[in-house]
Amino acid sequence: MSTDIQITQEYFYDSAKKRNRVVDEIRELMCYRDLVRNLVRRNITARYKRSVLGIFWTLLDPLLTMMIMAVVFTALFAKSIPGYPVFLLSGIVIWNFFAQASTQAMMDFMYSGSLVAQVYMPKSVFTFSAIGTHLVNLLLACIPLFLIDFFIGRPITPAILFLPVSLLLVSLFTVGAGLLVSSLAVFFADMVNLFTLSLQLLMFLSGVFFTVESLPESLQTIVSFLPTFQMVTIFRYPIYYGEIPPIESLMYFSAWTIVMLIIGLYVFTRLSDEYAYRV
Amino acid sequence: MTEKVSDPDQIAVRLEGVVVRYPYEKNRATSLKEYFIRRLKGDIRTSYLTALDGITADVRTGETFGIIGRNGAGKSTLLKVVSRIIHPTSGRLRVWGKVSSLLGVGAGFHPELSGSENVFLYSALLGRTQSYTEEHFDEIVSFAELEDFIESPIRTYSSGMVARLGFAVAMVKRPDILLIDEVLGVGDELFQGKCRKKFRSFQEKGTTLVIISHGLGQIEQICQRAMWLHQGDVMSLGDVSGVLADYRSFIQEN
Repeated sequence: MSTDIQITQEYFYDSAKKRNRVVDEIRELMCYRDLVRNLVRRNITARYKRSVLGIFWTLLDPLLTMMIMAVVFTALFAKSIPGYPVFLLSGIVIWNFFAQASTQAMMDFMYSGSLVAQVYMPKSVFTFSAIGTHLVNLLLACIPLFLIDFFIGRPITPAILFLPVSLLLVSLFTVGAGLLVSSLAVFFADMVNLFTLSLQLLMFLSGVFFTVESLPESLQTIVSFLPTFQMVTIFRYPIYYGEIPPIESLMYFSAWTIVMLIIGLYVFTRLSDEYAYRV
Repeated sequence: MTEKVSDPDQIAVRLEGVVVRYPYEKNRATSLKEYFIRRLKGDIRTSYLTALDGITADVRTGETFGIIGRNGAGKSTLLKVVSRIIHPTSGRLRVWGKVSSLLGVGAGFHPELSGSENVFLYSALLGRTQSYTEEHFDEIVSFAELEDFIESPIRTYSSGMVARLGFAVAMVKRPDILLIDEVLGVGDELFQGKCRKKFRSFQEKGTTLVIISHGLGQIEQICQRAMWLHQGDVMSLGDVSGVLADYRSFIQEN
C-alpha cells in the first residue's frame, strides 16, 4: 500500500494556488489530447453512420458542393478571371474550413452543458476537436481541388509545398476565433445568430468569389485590411497562381493570428471557471 | 497542477470554508439587446443561490466517508467541487490524489456509435490515454458482460446494458479518491454485487471513498465517518454513529 500512496502523491490539487490560466489550459489540453482525437473521430463517423456510402460522404459532400458552385459562378465570372473554377474552389475550401470550424466550435461548446456539468475536462477540447474535424474535411476536399487544378491546366509548381504553412496559420487563427466566439456565446445566445450573419457578410468581402481588383477602389483598401481576405489569399496563392503568397499578406495575417490566439485564449480561460455555473 | 507534495497528516481531501454561489438573474438577459437596455436602465441585478455556505471538513486517506442530508442540501454540489467540475466561489479545496467520480456515468455516449467506439470516447473523456484503454479494453468488456454486443451501436442496447458499459469503463482504473453519488441502483443484483466487490478491492488498495446516499442503513454499514449537510451548512461531522443520530433526531422533530 505504501508504494501506491507514494505514486499518487504526484497528483495534488489546490484551488487557492495562484495560477496562469492560459498555461494551465494548454497543459491540461495536452493531457486530454486523446479526447480531442476521439471527439474528432466521433464527429466524422457519427455523422454518416446510418448512410450507405458512409465515410465517403466526407469526400463526396465537398466535391458536389464545389461542382455546383463552379458551374453557377463560372457562368458569371469566367470571362474576367482565367481558370475561374480553381480560383473559386480554392477560396471556398478555405472559407468553409474557417466558417464551419469556428461555428461548430461555438455550437459544440454551447451544447456541451450536460457533459461539462458532470465530468471534468479542459473546456477547450471542444474548440480543438471542431478545428480537427474540419481540418480532416479540408484535406479530403483538397483531393478534388487538386484534380480540377490539374485538368484545367493551372500551373502546379513547388509553391504548393508552402500550403502546410498557410494551413497552420489559418488553423491557429481559427482556434483563436473559435475560442472567442465560444466564450461569448455562452453568455449571450444571440452571439450565434450574430456570428453566422457576420460570416455571410465577411464571405462576400473576403474575395472568395472575385479578385480584389474587380472591386471599386475605395473598397479595395478596406477589403485588404480584413484578416479573412488575407486568409483566403495565403491559401489561394500556391494553388491558383502557383506562387508563394506575398510577404505582406503573410506578415499581416501572422500578426492577426497571434493577436486572435492571445485574445481567444485570454477571454476563454478568464471565463472558464464560470462555465459550469452557466451552461 | 500536478506536483509532488508530501501528505504527513494522511488527508485525502481538505475543505476550508468552501462557498459555492450560483449566479442567477431573476429575469436573466439572454440577448445582447436586452442586456444593454437593462444595463442602461440599471436593471441588472444578479441574485445568488448559495449552494454551499462555508464548508470545512477533512476526509482522511483510505476511509469511507458518507454525506447525508435532504434534497437540495448541497451534497452533489460538494462532490462537483471535489471533482473540479465547479470551482469554489471562495474558500480553499486541496486534494491529495487522483479523483474519479461516478457522477454522470456514461456521459457523452453517442447512440449511433458502437459499444467499443463509445468505450474509447468515454474513457478519453475521463482523462485516460488511448493506449491505456486499448490495454484494458477486454477487461472493460467482460466486466460489462457485453462481449457479444460490443460492436453494435448502443442505440440498440437496453438502458441496463448502457449503464453497465459506463460503469465498466469508469471502474477499470483504481483512483485514489472515488466519489459516488447514489450509485448502487445500476444493473441487476448480480452486477451490483460485482460493483460492490470492485469498491472493496479498491478500498483494500488504499482508495478513499466519498459516498452520497439517502440510504442511512447503507451509510451506517460501510462508512467510518460522515457529514450531514443542511441548506449548504455542515450540521454535524464526525463518527458515523454520532452524525446519524443527529440526523435521525432532526428527522423525527420535523
